[in-house]
Amino acid sequence: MSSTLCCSFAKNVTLRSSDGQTFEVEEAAAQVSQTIKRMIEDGCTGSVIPVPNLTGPVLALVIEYFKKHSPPSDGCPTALLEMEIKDWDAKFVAVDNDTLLDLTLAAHYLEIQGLLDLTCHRVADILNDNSVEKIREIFHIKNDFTPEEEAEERSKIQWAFE
Amino acid sequence: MLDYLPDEVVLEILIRLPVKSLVRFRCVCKDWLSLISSNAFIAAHTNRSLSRSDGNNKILFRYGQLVGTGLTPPRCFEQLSLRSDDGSFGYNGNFIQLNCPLERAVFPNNFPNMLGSWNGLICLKYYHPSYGYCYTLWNPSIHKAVSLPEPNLVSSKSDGILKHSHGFGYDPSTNDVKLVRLAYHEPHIMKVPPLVEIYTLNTGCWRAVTSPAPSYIINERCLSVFVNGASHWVAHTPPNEPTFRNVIVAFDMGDEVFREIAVPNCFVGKLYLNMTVAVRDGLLCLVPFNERGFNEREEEQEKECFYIWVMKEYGIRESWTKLFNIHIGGLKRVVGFRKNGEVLVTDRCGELLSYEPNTQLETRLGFCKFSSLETKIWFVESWFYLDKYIESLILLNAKNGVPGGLANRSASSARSR
Repeated sequence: MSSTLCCSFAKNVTLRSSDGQTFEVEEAAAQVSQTIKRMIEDGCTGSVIPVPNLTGPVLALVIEYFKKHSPPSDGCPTALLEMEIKDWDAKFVAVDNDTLLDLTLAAHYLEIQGLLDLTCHRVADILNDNSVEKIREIFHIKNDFTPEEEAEERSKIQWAFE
Repeated sequence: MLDYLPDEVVLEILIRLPVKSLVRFRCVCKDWLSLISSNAFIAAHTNRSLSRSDGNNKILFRYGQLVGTGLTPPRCFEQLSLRSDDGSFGYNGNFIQLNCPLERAVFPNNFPNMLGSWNGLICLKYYHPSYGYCYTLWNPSIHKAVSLPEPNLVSSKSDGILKHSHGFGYDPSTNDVKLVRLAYHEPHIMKVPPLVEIYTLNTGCWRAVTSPAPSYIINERCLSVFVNGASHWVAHTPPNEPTFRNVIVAFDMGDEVFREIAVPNCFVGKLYLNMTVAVRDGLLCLVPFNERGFNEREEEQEKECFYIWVMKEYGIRESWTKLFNIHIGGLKRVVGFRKNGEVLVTDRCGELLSYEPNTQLETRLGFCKFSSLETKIWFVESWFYLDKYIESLILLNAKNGVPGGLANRSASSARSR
């Protein structure tokens, strides 16, 4: 952390993942999540905040995101800082597909709009040029069409497969 | 592990995908098929594309030409394409030609009339010898066209021939595509307000519009423009009366009410102004054309002029502002406005020109397929249309598609006759 000056004043909260791991993080950073922000406002700060939908490794990643996206202490993000964050974001979501989808879900559960936009955009980029079969594989989706039904659907939209 | 990916998250991801991928991904599973085909998804996807269309310079471009030689039947050429509004305007061959799925079946020789387009959704009208006027909605980005049912108001022996004007647009409050039709009975066109009916895609049928119809005459050949949620036409009162005045008639696609928009004071009482409406940077424009030069007296050629007026605040008469005039002899019509501020105009030789208002220089874009200097050519008539284009899923779930829809429609029409 570069902002050692303000650290002594910063309030921390403890987050606990579904598998019982705990993480300490600055309260201001954790409030990047609307869900956590509400819990803090409701007075949950004294004890540990449970995050039951996220495993330890995913929560650890989300906390990395919190730290990078917590509001700067002087309140005015510079253009340079914004550029740096953009670069950081791009690297942050350059992960394997399962981790990416875990982060997408985490952003949804914890209501982190910035992270949801970031991950959904990345997932959409990955999906865009892929085949139907590959999409099923990425999303672990079971094909519930009968071969006849699927053939019929495909025949209607041949051009989309060209 | 991802069986539990919530619908909201799937939607957040899919809404970011282009149309072609979405159409293909309907084959992933039944859930995705119904999600992507749902009205709510189509509307959300369309609205997202609209809100992000600023950087998009894709345009829908129609170009047609009719050449008469006097010896053989006129030669006709027509093309609808997607182009980029860049320097060359796609003339270097960098465009995508669009072919309507209905085209070959219904109009083998002629391209139908284009009534309008809304962000890439095209509305066509054509005349079928057995079924009269037929309407088609066509979304090239999903390769789908849908035939509309027969309108309620048709020509009859007792009431005389119908003259009609159309407006095509979108109602964002209901995410519905609408086509409004004003039908005038020919002998009474000066005296009786038109009958008005409207087709909406969500209901799939025509119904009468109950709000009072405008008591103005709209030229049948006047193409409407859709801006600010309403269709707009240039209209006027009967020309042989002392109270003659020009006006813009607007039809709001949301509340389905006609409104009147005043033209700039200097054009209110002017007869024989060949006025058109247009859209520039999302604002309503009026383009009066002083054709005075177009008569036998050569010296008056200089005086013909297009005036470009824009209504800076919609509906506020005082906000009409003249942007500039175009003083070039031999022009015929203003076709549209480009992103770089230039104006597309046609001349009487059928050529398309791009006019730069600051330098007042024009560039010939080279769209004239047949030169009027070519021997044996008696006349050249060209027509151009352009509008912005975005891809959308509209019509994806529409019933009565092609070719089944056409067959159904023909069968029912045949029965009623």
